[in-house]
Amino acid sequence: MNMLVLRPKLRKLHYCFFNNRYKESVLKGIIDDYRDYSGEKTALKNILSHLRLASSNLALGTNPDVIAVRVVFGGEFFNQPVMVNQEVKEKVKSLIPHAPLHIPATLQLIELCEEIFAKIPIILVFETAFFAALPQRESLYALDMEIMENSGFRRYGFKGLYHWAACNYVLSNNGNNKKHKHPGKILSICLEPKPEIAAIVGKKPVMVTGGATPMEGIPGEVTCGEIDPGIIINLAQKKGWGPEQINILLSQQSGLYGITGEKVNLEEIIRSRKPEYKLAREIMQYKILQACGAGIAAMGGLDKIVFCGRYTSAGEVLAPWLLFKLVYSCLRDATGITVDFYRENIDRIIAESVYSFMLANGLSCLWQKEGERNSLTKPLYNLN
Amino acid sequence: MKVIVFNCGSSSLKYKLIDMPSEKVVAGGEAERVGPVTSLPSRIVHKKGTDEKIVEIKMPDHKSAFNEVMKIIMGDADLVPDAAGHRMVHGGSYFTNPTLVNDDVLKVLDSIMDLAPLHNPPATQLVKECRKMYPDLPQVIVFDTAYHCTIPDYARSYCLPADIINEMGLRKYGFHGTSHWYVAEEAAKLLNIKLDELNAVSCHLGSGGASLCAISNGKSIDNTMGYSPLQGLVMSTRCGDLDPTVALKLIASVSGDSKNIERLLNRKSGVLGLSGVSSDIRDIFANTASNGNQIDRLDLTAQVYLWRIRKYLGSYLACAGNVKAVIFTDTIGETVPLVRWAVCAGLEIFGIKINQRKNFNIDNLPADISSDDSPVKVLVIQTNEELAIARCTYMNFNKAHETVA
Repeated sequence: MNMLVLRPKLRKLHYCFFNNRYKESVLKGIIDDYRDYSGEKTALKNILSHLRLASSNLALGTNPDVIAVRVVFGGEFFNQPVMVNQEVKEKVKSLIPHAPLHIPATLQLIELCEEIFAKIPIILVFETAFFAALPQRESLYALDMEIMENSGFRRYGFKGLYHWAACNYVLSNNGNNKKHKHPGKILSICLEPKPEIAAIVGKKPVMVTGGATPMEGIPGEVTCGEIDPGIIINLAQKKGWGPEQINILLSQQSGLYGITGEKVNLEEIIRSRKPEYKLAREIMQYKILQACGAGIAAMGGLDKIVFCGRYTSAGEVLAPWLLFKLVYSCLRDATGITVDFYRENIDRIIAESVYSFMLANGLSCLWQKEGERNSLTKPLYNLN
Repeated sequence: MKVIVFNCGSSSLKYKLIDMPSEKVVAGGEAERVGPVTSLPSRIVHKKGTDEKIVEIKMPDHKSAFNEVMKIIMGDADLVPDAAGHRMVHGGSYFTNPTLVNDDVLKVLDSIMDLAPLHNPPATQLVKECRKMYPDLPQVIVFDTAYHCTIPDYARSYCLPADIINEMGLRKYGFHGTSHWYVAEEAAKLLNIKLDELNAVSCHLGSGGASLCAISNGKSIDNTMGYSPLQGLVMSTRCGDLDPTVALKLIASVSGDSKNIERLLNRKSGVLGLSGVSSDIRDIFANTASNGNQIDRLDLTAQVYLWRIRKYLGSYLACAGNVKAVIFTDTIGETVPLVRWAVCAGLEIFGIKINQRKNFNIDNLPADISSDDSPVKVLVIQTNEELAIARCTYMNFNKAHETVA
């Protein structure tokens, strides 16, 4: 099966092409400024020309059997991947107030894909899907219930794909491991530019540091993380700033950047011994330890810690410190608690997620018979 | 010596006259409904031993309440104080220890009033009036934020740009410090260790405000409240933790009227906002089994309230490390066994084993409600901020006298 994975961001479009099911990515890249303001479909045309150029190396050709589109927010509608149809698009459209910049761009991309890759199924995967059924005791804020219902304010998590895949990895890896107990209670530590920690029992999250948006929780490279709501009130009252100005401060000028004054990534902060990064490193370590403690209390135990995300390797530095803090000075029964590192990138995870979804929903026929696949994908491209 | 302790609420003035160092309460009382006229009359309820005296009198502000209380006190030869201790909610970055009042201190108090606009102004007014009327009476101020001055930089820093942090003094201050400090001292006595050997998590669960404090070697290393008392746990009418974007969206929804949202988050959220019927979590627990259509909403309120405490308890157990005790105090912490049970149940991995029988059958405080084999003791200790303030006042008074001598 060939799969084209698309990850639209605010300005950039990440793409990745897999063949041989989802095992190997044979082509990947980033298209800058992909929004189709002129109607010229430039971004997708560029991806296709890249695919054609690379086609000589592709044993299975450049025809995608399925297109996977990552969507940052799925609200309570979407708790698993979904194949695009008109009803799905309407539901996604209704989520615009929750992600007013991302969702319109994603919808436009979906429509472009429908035009260009006629008849090729498009599957949406949602970062929030893993958390759609988060228990209400965790998802609710202590606000007026009517305000929450009317505005849709609730806690989600925004690294659901990483957590889902890391959790699956841990559970499947443990199958042949009789030495350790079944990892029913998992702390998934996702080291991304906006880090996020989830506590997962079985395959269900019971706690997550992300909030109504990715801004809450552990500070990010440029996002503030948790702050006292009183600070926001004070910024509005004493500085006379409006919500937009405060939002820029909190979402673009804070986090590690705010503390160090430098554009620095999470891995550098964790690995570096530079004295000027000391406070930022200590803050990140402390926030991670706090979240782990909360997660263990939420689960009433701990079997496994798994690091994931693009900076998983920084977890190798964090893990000994974290284990020391938890196992030697906090937990009274730490027997069998182990650490794993899940190193897959997000494109592979999306591909795996879509593959699992198609298998589970009887859609494997789309790639099992070559002839059938060709009939589905002809005419392959419609660039006019 | 006798110390008179004043605890200034936004519409009340509590006082206690304590003999030191015996710590015996000689008299005490409360000036109720201080401020604008209400449907019920303002009054002072004064108690000395078993005698109770009620004086109905207009008290338009804390200054007049103070003077009326002092008339009663000074009119009884047995009650004339040798020193006064005051509770002040916010000491900003300036006051990290109990402080003897002088003119310089008063100037700084004026400059930090807006850090706690409901609580600091009446308390400052009272200190000034006390100094004016009784210039020879030594006064010591004990700040709720002072105990938290030991919170390390990495726990007190918000990840915001340095220029904004410095300009606005944005950092975690923490609150309820006097209570956390008092119960930590009492817990150390119960465990028969020195305070500086105590690692603990103190849960100050009041009927209004509430906070948890992580304690390492007797010192505060974190508190769930932050720059203001708004952060942290779900409280009676305060929201506690909130995604910054939600606060921004709320402000945007009222066209930037941040005062409106300040009121919403401070006075109409928390238990009241979730339940829609009461700001007192005890009402919610009492009604979850009997309130028909409301049951889901009340049950949810209780769950959200308890869950937040449990998560923070786990956080602070991890951060404090080698914890010897979890302490419950203040109205809810002392009197609602359900809260203690729901928060501690299933935390054996942290070494916490609560004994249900002990938990539900407390005769006297302090009480140890943990199982005999629990590595972490679960203690219920009655907070006594007035006594803590009297102790500080006594120590400072003695220090000042030693210096003079």
